[in-house]
Amino acid sequence: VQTAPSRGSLLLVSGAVIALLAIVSVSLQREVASEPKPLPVVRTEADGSATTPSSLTAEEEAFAAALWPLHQSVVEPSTGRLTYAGLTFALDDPDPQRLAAKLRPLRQIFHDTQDEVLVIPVPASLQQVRDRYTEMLSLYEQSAAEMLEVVGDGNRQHLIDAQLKSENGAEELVRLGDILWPGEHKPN
Amino acid sequence: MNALVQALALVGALGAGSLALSAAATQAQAQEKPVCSVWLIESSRFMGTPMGSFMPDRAFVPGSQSPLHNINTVDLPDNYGVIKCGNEVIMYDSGWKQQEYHKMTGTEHFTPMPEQLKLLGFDVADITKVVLGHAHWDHAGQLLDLPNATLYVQREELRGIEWALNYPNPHISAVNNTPGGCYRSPACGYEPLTVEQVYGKVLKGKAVIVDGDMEIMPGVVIHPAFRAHTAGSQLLEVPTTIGKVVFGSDAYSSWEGIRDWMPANIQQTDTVQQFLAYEKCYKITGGYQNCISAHEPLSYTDKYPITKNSWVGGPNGSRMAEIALASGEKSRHP
Repeated sequence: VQTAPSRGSLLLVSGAVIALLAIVSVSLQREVASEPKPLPVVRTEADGSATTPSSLTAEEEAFAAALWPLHQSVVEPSTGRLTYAGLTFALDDPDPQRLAAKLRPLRQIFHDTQDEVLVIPVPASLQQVRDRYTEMLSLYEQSAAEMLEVVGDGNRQHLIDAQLKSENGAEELVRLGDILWPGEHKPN
Repeated sequence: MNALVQALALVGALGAGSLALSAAATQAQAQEKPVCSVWLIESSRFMGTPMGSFMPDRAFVPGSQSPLHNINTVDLPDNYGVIKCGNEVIMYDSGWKQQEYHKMTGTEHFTPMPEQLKLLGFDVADITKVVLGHAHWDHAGQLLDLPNATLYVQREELRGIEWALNYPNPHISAVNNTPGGCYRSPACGYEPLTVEQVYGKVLKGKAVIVDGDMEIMPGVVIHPAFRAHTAGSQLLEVPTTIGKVVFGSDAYSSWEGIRDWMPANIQQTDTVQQFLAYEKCYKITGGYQNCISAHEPLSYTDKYPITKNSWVGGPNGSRMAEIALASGEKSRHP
């Protein structure tokens, strides 16, 4: 026969439960507090976000910074696209009209970018570097024009002659990049 | 009964003879099987790379006593392989063009590749094949110096570069994202000069565009490792007197990574594919000891045993290791 518990015994049981909960809670808090907290990862200047220290003056830095958007988003990808126009033609797609469709806008980009570079204020100390940069663009423009010759006469020697020009341009691009944005190319 | 015994004896004798012939044939075949000599050369050394940037699972935690988290920075060699099979000399990767104008800050051990080859007794004109593990500038950078070498590159690598360069979003198509360089964007690492030199090889008829596996000499086999570092990364299996070795370029950036199954040098890497590339070496060589890594910090020390037979070769402190010698091949170790 089950009987209803008395009020006294209910109070006693409730008190015991509350006391137990309090003990568990304090223990857990201590446990969490004693666990070692993860420490922050130390970053050094060699990290991806860091740039290589430059030896340029403030004026020269300003020129490099003004040229950077053109260099980064127009010049370097366009040089690669020019190379690939020839590579694709040589390997996979010998259609001269499709080659021409890729080359004409690239030739124009190399031409127009020379003008855009020339309007950037340049300190006297970097005038020669700026001139070399536009000459490099001119080499790429000439390379694109030479490649276009193959569309007219089908002579693949134009591709070889054009490649020598763009290879020289690419080497000059590395030289100039090393002056204006030292450490531009990171190990991969 | 006698006839039965004689017949059984005859069958036994024939069986034994056939077994002996078979064993002799196998031995002869084993003797004929070509083996190659292999050296590893340090093109340069990239100093002070944060460990967490090289191997994310081993990022440095200040105060940690764990060997997994107590290294802040590492110095990464940039290794390439020289392989001599019979009279042919093959290179796996070609390091990077070491010019005065292209010396990265904080980089050591520069020695031009032609000088390094001379120290092994080779001339650049001797190199008949160059297999690119991938086409990043620090691994494919001296192709102009190899006039007679036929280039082997995966078609998928060329496609991957083209895709990235032509992607309309400039954050994705940029070769460099900031003046300080880039690490992991899709076109990152494909410097215009390097891509131009690959194109030059194609125009000169000195390039083989590889689709997947290819045996380029008896026993010397290219295996694709698509997206294990870049779109068209490729491994090279080479038979040697110490068993098969597998070069992995940056799919095998860290030998410790292969040993401990940890990703490393994640550029355009799919880490699942990198693990499958690790597994490929285990399957081909029977373990991880003969997997040859491009950037293992322990290279040229006892801690990376296959590279321990090493010495300082170049005038600027660059190191080289003799990994295996074919029968009759003289040691280059001074």
